[in-house]
Amino acid sequence: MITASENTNGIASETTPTTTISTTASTVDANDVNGTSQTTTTGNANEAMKEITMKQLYEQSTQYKYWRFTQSALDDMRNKLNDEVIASIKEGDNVPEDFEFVNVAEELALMGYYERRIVQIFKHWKLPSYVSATAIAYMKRFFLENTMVDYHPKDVMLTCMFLARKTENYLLAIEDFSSVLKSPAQPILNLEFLVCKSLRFHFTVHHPYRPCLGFFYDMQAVADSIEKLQKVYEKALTLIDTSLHTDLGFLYQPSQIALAALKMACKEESYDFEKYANYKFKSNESTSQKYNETLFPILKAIEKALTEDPRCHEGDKLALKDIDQRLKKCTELANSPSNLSKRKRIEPNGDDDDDDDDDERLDKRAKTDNDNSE
Amino acid sequence: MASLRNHAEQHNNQVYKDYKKDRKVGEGAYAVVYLGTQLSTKKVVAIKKIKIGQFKDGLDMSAIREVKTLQELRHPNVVELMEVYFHKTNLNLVLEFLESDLEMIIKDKSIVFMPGDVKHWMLMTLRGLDHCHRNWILHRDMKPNNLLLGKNGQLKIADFGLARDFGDRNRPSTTQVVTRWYRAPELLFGAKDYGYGIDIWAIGCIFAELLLRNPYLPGDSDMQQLDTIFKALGTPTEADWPGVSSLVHYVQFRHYPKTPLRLLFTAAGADTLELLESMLIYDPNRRISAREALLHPYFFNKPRPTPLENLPKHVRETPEAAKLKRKADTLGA
Repeated sequence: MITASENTNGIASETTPTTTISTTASTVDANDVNGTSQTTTTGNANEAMKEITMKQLYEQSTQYKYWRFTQSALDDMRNKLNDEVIASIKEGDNVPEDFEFVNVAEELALMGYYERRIVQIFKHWKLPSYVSATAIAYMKRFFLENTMVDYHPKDVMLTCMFLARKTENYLLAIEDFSSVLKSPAQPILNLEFLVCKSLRFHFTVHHPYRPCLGFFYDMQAVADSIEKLQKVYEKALTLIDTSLHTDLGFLYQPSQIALAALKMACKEESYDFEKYANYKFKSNESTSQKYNETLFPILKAIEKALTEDPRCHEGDKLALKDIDQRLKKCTELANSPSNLSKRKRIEPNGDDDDDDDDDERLDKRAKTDNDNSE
Repeated sequence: MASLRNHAEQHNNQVYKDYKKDRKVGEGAYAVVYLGTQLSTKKVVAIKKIKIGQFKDGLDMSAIREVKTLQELRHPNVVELMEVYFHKTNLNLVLEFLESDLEMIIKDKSIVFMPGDVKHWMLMTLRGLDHCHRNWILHRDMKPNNLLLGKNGQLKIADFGLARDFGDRNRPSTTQVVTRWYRAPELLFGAKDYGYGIDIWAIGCIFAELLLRNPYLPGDSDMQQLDTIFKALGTPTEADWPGVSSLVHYVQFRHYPKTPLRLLFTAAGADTLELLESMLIYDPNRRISAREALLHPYFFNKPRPTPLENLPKHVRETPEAAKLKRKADTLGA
């Protein structure tokens, strides 16, 4: 299903969040630690102690390994799902002549509406921004594999919110969750399995908030005015909030988005970003060249998305309502008897099942073994 | 709704079909562990089955914590989570299988530990833990039976059911973590903003246990645990541990003097005791980190860590031997 896109994101090591926040972990010389392993005399131990850099550490994350795409790969996946579902609905004989199916752009607009609901509700519950960001990421990942015709984004939203509260350590009992949101509990729980499977059980999502804080600390080293910098930082945080509604989280690394947001915020607050860039990335000719060739274009691209992507803004209510009605019609058509009978069905877990209860089955087997031996 | 379009479901089924459970090897409060086989590779695995059905809030927090952290951690000294799949209403974690654990070895009094053995076990434990901490993950349940040992002698940290991320301020954490004997004093005093130090304290206790072959600080209750700690290491004052008296559950204890470690650990070298002592420093901010511990002279001085293949192994009783023993017992009775 998911293939990591080839190296769309170049630079990372200098900008990974932990580099700037943690001093203890990153200042230890790699060779020193390697030295430790040499005393163990065995090859295995040596291998075990190979020092890994902060960049490699991020590259081990499931986000980097499995949830990184190029824009065209994302478009392809979404178009393919959309085509598939439309084709299967058309197999039924009850599709109105001039029916207008929901296209990918419309689906994304509708998802944008529910993304903003997540932010609203979590804000009301006074949860930190990263909890919203995680729930939104779950929903976005879910719809790379599943279609809105089968699973309405509102239902998915609720389950993603419930799950994100748990994975981010803000568990709320299901009865409280469902009563506050006035939505029955069982459907929320029922979807949890499928959401987890669609996420491939990758629950950790890295967001730009933490690296942004790291950069904020780091920028203080060359700041003329901490008050002004504080304003820049706050502005950058709102830009990161906006970025959650785009595809940037699939395309770039959190630290890159954070830095681009700070760069933009500097512009808006007329604060000198170049001074920091010179200090951090352009200390000599070779780093300077690397910055200009790799990081700078990435920052530019992120900036462009944050200014031009229509999903940065709330959609038109009437248009969204229309999309939602057509989506519901699609679901209805897809589930009509004439359509269902023509669609091949794959039952979950098949029917070859012999371990309904593993314990019982194994106990039985153990008993037979014993019987034989007595 | 099952349909042709359900890619996630299909993937899950593929994974499910690749594993077979062979026999039950353990049962915990919320999970059953099986020995199993990956059919495509014939590899022996451990399958931890978590019954979701019994949890009213859906997927339970321990399962989430374990899956969330292990998915991100790949290290020779951390147990590998190979796959995760749902079957019926159960969540199954496929983990690499390891024969025994450090607790079994410690309890097996037929085995004599050499200083190099202890050194290598400590080295592997600290490497695994350092990797967790660098990923901002606290284990929160370090104890000998969560340190698994493979056939080749390799040690791996397991059981991440209590693990969580740390490093963000304003995120209070529960103090009801870590098995009591290995619980750091700041947890016992109710500190909610603890960090890597709680895992290091636990490793200090394990280190001591490896040297003594007995639990170092076995308390019967939380209060008694503190008393046991203070009896062994002296009652801390504000000077040793700034801020201790303002912790939520702080109570004044009777004053025990500090006894030098060498009185108890008579056979241990000076570098050993120095490292042990730095893991058991009261002030969590001054307690040694995993990274610093790895750079401690103890690991560079002689004796060298015993090569993996020469480390003591716990020989598991074969079913045949057990049967004979049972028979002998019955005859005896």
